[in-house]
Amino acid sequence: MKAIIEEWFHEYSDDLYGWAYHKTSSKEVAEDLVQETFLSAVKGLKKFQNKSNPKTWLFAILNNKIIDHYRKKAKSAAVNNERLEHKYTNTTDSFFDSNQNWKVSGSEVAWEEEVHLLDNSEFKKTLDQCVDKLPDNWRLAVVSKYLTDKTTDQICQEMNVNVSNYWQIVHRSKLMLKKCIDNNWKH
Amino acid sequence: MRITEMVESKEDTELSFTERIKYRTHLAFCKTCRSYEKQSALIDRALSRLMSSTPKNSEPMDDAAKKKILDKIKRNEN
Repeated sequence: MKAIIEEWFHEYSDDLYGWAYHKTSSKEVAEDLVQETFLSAVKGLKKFQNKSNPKTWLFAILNNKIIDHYRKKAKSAAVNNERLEHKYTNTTDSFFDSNQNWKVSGSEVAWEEEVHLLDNSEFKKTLDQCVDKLPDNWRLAVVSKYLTDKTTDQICQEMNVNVSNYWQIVHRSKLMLKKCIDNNWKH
Repeated sequence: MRITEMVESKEDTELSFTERIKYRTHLAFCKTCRSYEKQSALIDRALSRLMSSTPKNSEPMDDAAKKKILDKIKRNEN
């Protein structure tokens, strides 16, 4: 039983590291997260009981560690973040007129019908870069929503916001992502 | 609540009857809203995929880092 974690380490550590690096862009942070993942796995091995695939289980632990990392980062840069959030809130508000209707410039790019974009690697890359540009707290909301199967209530509790604040963050983040795709994605 | 905001929150919280009517009526006359509704759904699906796709050609972890972690695992197992 004991050596099983070591076996998993040899088998999956590179995949886990690659994923952590991809999500944090830091070698040191990625190594730390992989280490924490395996130490949690050692502690929680009894809970695992071969119920799922070990790789799936390890990735679920890692994803939670990645979110913890984003949360800590958002906390430590709170002042800067507030400034950025304020700026981005102004930006997203400026998409609408005083009646809360979309301002239309006529130069909008239509990409909504292009379902094949989901398989387009350039589009994915653009979206990935756009997510990285979001303020830490907004990115935390987006990553928590799409990376894990956490419920809205859980995410709100962890982020210490109420549900309507949370939806507003998701809403503004998606408006920024739309804008960022409009600006940066070349057909 | 801004109409566009409903695009996002309606997937989680059901809109009330009045809100639903307001939403549908507004969208019937708002081309940008209809386009955003679709873009928002597309972004949703793209984000879900993006978050679950493993990157290609990623570098393996340093051997030194691996050894360090493996040592820690062994110590914690005992």
